[in-house]
Amino acid sequence: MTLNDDQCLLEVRGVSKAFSDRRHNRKVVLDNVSLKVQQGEFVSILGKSGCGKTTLLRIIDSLIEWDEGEVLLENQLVGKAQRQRMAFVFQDSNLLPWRSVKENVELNLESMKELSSQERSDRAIEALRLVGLEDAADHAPYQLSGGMQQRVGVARALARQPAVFLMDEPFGHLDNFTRERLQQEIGALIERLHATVVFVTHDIDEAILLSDKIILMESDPGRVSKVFNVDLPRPRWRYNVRAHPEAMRLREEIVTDLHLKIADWVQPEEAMLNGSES
Amino acid sequence: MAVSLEEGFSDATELQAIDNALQRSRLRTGFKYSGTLYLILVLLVLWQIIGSFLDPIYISKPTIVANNLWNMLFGKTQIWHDIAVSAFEMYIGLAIALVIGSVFGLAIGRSRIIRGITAPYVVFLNATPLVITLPLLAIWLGVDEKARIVFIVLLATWPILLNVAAGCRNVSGRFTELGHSAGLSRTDLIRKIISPGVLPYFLTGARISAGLVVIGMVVSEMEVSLVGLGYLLASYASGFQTSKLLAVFVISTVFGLINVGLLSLATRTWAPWAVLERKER
Repeated sequence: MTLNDDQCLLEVRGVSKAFSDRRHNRKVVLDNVSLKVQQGEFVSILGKSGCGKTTLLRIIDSLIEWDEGEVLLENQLVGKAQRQRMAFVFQDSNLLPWRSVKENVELNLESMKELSSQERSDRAIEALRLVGLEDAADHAPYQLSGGMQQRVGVARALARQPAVFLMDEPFGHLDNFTRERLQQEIGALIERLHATVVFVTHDIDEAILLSDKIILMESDPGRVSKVFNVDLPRPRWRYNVRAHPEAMRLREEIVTDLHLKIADWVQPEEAMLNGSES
Repeated sequence: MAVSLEEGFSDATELQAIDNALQRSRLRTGFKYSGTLYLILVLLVLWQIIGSFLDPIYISKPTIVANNLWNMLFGKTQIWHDIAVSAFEMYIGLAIALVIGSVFGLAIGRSRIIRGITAPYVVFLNATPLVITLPLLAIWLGVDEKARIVFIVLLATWPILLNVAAGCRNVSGRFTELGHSAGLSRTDLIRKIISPGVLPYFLTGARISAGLVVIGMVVSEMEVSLVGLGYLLASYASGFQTSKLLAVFVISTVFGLINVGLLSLATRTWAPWAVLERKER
């Protein structure tokens, strides 16, 4: 790895986090996790449920506390000013039902006291235009379909004009058709804006389709197990990515890596059988 | 073959369809209510017919009940004093319950420690048939409106408290991270997220309580009172004056309907999303 520190936009250094449950058993969720994200890079954090990938994303945005390590944005420890330069996209669109679509987008600007209400409104409309929902600005969230709600969630993040987008499985709760459509649309938008994204997912194909870099995590405790660079041409398009030899090789490699980890907890007899086969 | 953004994101037709569906659902509601009205008319006619064949001591007749009602409100035996006493107890009780229920509901919803300490008591008191407190209250506070108001408060506090506590937890769980991520201050979090989020839960609790205060008023006046609608119900019942009994019953019911109706209206005015969200899903 030859990463130049000066180019590095976001850095996580040796972050560890343990929860204690009711019986005061400590469970290590993240163990010494480090990663670097360059300007304009799309980085996916890929792993099984419970590997701590969402926890990691929350730590980056200081939404929860952690035990060890540090998070740096533009070489500075993350504090209030740095948090204003990050925007979180939630798994559920998390729209406030008592606010209109536009007011929901504006929520993310209300802590920025330097903006006038006119500027807030302009930014919200501009963000909604980017996701194609400026016509829905005055609608209530419940009037929109799930896919549209999730796009409002993306618009809310866009309005901040952040240095980094933190996306927590933003398409995870959508039906398959909507998910594929949004992957394409939001992917294209991010590409056009040259946005920097940290994207949490458990979907291998989604990670390959969207990412420049995939960070594969293992669970119990959550660790970075491998980092893959995705050398596929852009713009990417679901069907040419799926058939691309490099994508297939990468997919194979990731699946193998995940399966090796599964073998760790397979019964000893079965593991031996598998071993004798190869 | 790259997809153009403008094309990919166009939803004019989808939005139009949503607006049309809203329009239709509004039309349907109008029809539903007129059906309810017809049913009431049918039931009244049936009552009148069946009542004509029976001794009025059993179910009386709508016409006689209406006549008694007229006398009680505008005729010789006006009972406005009793109505006023009952209304006073009910609304003072409801007001106190709203305050106590909200304050404790918020405290229990916001603080895990307070929740942990009070949870068993809340479950216990909510499961207790509170009518058993009535004789005790009469002993402590005497046979007057103080005992009755305290009883009404006891009865009406729970729905508000439980709903506000549940709403507070729900809203905190759903939106606190969003607020933190948006960089909202603590006061802004409460002002912009918790308060509006809890409002529909509060109104739901209040609506249930607004029905309960009528029950509380009637029951407490039947037991510890010499005045009020509940007292009239008890005394007419012991005198087998069924028509008058039913007339007072109608007045009590109207109170209940007004209370619940006003709070439904309040929910639709102040928290329309809570009503519409349910309807659309």
